[in-house]
Amino acid sequence: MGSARNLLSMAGGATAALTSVGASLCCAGPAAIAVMGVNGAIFAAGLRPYRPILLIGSFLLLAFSHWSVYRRTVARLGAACSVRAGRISRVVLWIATAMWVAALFIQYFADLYWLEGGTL
Amino acid sequence: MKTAIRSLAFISLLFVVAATAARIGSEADDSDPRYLVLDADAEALRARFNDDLGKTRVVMLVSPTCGGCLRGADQVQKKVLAKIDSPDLAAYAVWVPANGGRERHLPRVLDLVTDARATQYWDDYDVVEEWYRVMLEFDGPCAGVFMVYGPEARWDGESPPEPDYWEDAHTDLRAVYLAPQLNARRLAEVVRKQLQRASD
Repeated sequence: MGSARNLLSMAGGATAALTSVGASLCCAGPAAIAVMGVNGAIFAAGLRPYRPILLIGSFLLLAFSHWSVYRRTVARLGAACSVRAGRISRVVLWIATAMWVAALFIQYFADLYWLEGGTL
Repeated sequence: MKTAIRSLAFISLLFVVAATAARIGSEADDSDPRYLVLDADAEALRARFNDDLGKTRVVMLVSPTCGGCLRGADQVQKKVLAKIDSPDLAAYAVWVPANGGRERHLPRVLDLVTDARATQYWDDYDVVEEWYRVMLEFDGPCAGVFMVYGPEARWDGESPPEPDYWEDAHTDLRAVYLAPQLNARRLAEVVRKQLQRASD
């Protein structure tokens, strides 16, 4: 039950982080088109107005996933020992977290480094 | 901690690959018949605009590397040009070098506007963007702008005439409100009214 919940929250967090990246990346210039393609950029541009909601939602889901994966659990008397979350789960979680951070700053770096005259 | 560092390295690698791909990109073919390269006076656009006097005209000022612009061009194609089959309608997609866009990015986006009444241009000297940036009082890059001109509009001066109506694909990003957020259905209604007015 616990591992299913972990998996679910992690999948949710990762998906939300991915969506946030898409919504942030849509307008970050040539890199956006290279990563997502024309149709991907068009789809992501439609998500852009929801970027703040996506970022907050994915942050909450990721925070919950971190708590689920890294919390210390004490086995109750007679119950099976708690098992630490698997390596793959932790890798996915950290990748999703890194993507969330990237989504947060991507527009700032795009403005700063590779787009002249401001972004759209 | 190791996991976090590896994840960050992976994400960084993804960005390096993306940036390299963007740089190499798809190279534009000099003889691509789908668009014309504008000179410093945008003469080809001016001539076409004036040749189409008597028609309702839609001008799209778009960057090939801006998601909102691509979405706008796609919607105008699907909800305006594809829905209104009048021969008295003409459209011009002017691709501008805003938001990191370059001519080499065009081949990937030209198929968004497929209507036979539409002509596409590359604003090589960035003059069209500059004219509209001043005219429409933009603070930043002028792209993602969709304008409608009535049948009487004529381009006489150096810069194009003021549009009769326009919408902006990036209203939510502007510091000040300049025009309504692009809504292709509403734009189609404006075009229909102009066509109706011309036929009356």
